[in-house]
Amino acid sequence: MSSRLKEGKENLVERTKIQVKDLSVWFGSTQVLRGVNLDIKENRVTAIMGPSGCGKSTLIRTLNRMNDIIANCRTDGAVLLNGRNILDSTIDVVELRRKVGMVFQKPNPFPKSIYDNVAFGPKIHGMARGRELDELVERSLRDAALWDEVKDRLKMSALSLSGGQQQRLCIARALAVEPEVILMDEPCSALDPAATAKIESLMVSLKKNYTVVVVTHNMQQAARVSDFTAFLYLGEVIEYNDTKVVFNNPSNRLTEDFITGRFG
Amino acid sequence: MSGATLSKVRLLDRGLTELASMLNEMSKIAQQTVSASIEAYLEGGDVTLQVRQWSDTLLNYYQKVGEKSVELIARFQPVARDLRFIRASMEIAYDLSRFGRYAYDISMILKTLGGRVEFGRETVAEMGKRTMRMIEDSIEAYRTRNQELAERVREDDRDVDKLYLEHLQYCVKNPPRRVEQLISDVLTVRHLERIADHAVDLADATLYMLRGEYSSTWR
Ligand SMILES: Nc1ncnc2c1ncn2[C@@H]1O[C@H](COP(=O)(O)OP(=O)(O)O)[C@@H](O)[C@H]1O
Ligand SMILES: [Mg+2]
Repeated sequence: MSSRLKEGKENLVERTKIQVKDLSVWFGSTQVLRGVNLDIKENRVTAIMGPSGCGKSTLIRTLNRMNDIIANCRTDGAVLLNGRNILDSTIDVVELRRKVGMVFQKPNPFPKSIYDNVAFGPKIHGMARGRELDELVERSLRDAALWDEVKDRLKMSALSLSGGQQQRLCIARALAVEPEVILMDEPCSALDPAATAKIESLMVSLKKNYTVVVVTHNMQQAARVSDFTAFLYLGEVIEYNDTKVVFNNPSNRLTEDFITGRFG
Repeated sequence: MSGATLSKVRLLDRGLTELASMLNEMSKIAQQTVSASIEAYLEGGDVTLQVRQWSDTLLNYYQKVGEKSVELIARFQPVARDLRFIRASMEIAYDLSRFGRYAYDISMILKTLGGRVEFGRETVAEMGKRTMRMIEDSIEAYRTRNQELAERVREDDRDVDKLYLEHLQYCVKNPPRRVEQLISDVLTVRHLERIADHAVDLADATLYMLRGEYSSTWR
């Protein structure tokens, strides 16, 4: 990584949270990721961008083994979370997905109350009940910047919320199980600009306590929210650097052409 | 997998072309402005009005380049080489407008202090020649994205600085009898030295545009 990383005070110590090593993924005979290497830093926002179909979702879904549910999916290489390979067959996938939560493109709350949506995870993980659970729900909603908007109607259906609120509810739901990493796959693509701005500022505040990885096809969003940016192209990481460097002076011509809108 | 379509039509390109053509226009005016003022100093003739007009035009362009740049940033949020081109354009437009301003100052010297200056003519001629070449080279380096030529402008500046300092020492040791001759001469070489510095700034902006970073040298 560039020596510029050492410039900012914030960047004095960079700890790797997730290390992706020589990761290749196939769907049937089609290779979708080709030897991806990526050090995802703790308490930072890392953006993964690239043209559609380049493998962004596949990559992010590998980080909590969501691809396991796809029958013809084969994975090679390693993904170390806190130094431990999560692709190992002995890993408890349920526990992994608690540690590495996921927020999807379309807000997908359960057709239950706001409260129940957030309480769902902690309940099945046996994490809390009663007052403790109430507190956990409140804390999660606060962290997701939604509490003030819903505190008087926790019993109402989650589906009565606006799209942007539903997405923040999904973030609260992910936070409720006290994860270490939050993965977001194009979390704003179904939202209007105001709701998008809220999620973006949320991403930045979340990094205080979590490691955030966001897939986005919105370059300006990557530029706004992320500390590091990876540019993925045809299943390969073409460039990975400090976001400031990527958007000022990328070292790869393909990256440059992509972010300046010359293709993609 | 969706095919990447190269050479997409970009609205931003129209704006960038507009910036480039404004700079092109400014370059021509800046060169003729500086050369007219040096020539008038050496050969006589009052060019103050003409030079003033050109200098005002340059200033006007400089402001237009700034407005256009801000507009493009606001509308398109350009990044990478597009953004660097815009920043470099603003800085280059500033340097070009300064050429006009210093040329005007030179043209005013004789008007304010009286006729032809015999003292120090060779140095003014030599520094004028070198400075003009630096202006031409810096503009050419920008136009053709020529890093080597831009580097050469930096080197030429060292020679101009040397000529300037040596000349000041000469002035101290061999002052002319008429003090207005000394003042005219010293002001002129001083302005030329400043013009040369702006040629270096222009070259540096070009290097920044091409390399993505400023090489910092104090001048
Ligand atoms: N379940 C699947 N079965 C087969 N091919 C898939 C599957 N999911 C994704 N792909 C293919 O893998 C490639 C990468 O997809 P994806 O990771 O979703 O890209 P992105 O998120 O960058 O748009 C695409 O060509 C896509 O068609
Ligand atoms: Mg995707």
